[in-house]
Amino acid sequence: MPTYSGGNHQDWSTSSVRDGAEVSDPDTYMGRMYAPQTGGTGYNSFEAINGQLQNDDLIVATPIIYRHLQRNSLCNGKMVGLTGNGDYRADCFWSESTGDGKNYRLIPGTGINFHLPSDSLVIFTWMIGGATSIRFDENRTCRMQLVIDDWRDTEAPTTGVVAPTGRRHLVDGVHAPAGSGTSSTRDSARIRRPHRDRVWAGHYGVELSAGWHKAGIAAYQRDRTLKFRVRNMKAIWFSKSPPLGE
Amino acid sequence: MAIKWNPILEGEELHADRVQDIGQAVVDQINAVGSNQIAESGLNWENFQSDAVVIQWNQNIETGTRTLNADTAAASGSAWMGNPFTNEVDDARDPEWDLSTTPTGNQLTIGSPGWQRIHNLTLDSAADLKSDNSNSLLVLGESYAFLLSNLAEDTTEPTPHHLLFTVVVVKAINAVGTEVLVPLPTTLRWVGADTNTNNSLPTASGWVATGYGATGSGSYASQKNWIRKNMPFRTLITYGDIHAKTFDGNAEDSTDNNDIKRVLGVSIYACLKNCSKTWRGFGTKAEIRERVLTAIEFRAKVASLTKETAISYP
Repeated sequence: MPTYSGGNHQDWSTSSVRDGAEVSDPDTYMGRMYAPQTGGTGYNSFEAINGQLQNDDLIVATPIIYRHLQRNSLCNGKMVGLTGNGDYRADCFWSESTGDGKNYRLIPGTGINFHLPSDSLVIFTWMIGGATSIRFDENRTCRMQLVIDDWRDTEAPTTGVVAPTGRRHLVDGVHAPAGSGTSSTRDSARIRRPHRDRVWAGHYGVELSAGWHKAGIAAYQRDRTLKFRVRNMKAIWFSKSPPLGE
Repeated sequence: MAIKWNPILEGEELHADRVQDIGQAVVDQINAVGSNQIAESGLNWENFQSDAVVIQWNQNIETGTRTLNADTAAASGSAWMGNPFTNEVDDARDPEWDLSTTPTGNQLTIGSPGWQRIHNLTLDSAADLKSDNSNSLLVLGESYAFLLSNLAEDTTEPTPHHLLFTVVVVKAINAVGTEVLVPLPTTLRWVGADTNTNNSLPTASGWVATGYGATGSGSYASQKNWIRKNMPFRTLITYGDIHAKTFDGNAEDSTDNNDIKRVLGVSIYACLKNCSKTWRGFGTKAEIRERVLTAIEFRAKVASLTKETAISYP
């Protein structure tokens, strides 16, 4: 951002802004404060903030260079998230007994939609955590994976599709103590282990073409219950096309 | 980043001085944005200058299992992976790297005992990080530690204090053109092994009948092999972050604005450590599954500066 010279802002409040009793007129005031104006001196509008440079803001004979590019014309981003816990009973959400791609469901709070104005390098970063009531060594732990431009559960079966970053797990979190005793006495002593909650702080970079895209973290768990705590999903993109039609 | 100013309230008396003050406050804000107005410690687009340009980027994903074994620890005093010293008597000692004062050597010990490379990324072309910090390397990485156990994966054995460390290592070029390894201390991550037994309960808990953890037995915690823990890092590397006398060209204390440190790529190194003297004989094993490593070189300028004068605006 070049230095903005400011100017005499009293211009905003001359004549029609004030009535005889000097009562403010917010509409006129705000109109002048951000009046579109690319020439002359006018009201010294703050529209320069939005990229509408005035002649007065330019040094004569100095070309506009990259520093004058409007903020985020070369890089931009978006973030989504969720503040609550997402509770799941597996038999209500996952009807299939296999972890095929079609059976993965997007986790609310991780799904992000965004528009790329030009072909871009996109970096996704996310943090998602949670807990599952799968018992130790049942090997049916929750699986999570990144999906891009594909909400798995709403489209055709995608068996065999491998997530770009591979899959991650929420580890089995309920423990029946080992040792002697009958299975029923051991089962009655089950405890949940909060320190088995897991977090996945992941990232992925990919070059995407201009237009709308979507991405998210999809999950699958065959049995029991689980709980997701989404912190955020971010997309940060950097234009790969020369700016301004260069 | 929010610009705060006192708006004009409906019906407020509007004096010229008041208007001037408000306008000037906004001007002052625009021309001197404070660092505290940028989100701290969070990676977002606001962290990047508006004219940040990607020079190159590269990404490598490994999904195969990488296994590390520390099996040379049959007795106290044996060498452990990750520790450059030959005697691991001090339980409190963290894995270290060599604080080399020579301009040519690696800055961490490789091998066994020592650090093992578990993931590697080579840039398409060397990134010359400049001493004026006008360019940088954003590195994002993640290791999925799947298993951390005793060597035999024996769940009936006690769980010693197994630790798995990872650290990011920059491959830099030293003054004589040799590739050397420089670890970045702020990227050190560690995870611990897990246990089957609820050792938060008092030792007199009746539900543990026999074996390790049994009532009055001293409550050894037995082994659980799978840990499934995430070891992520996200770091921005600039010239000043590579603390080494190992770069191409100028002396480290040079004040030349044209100094560079040439980076060929980045790697993730890992090591194992068993902090329990009693159970060293069980050894330590780790399996690391997915590893993701992404490096992006930024320059805070439009790549083709010669075209600047051709830009018509707006």
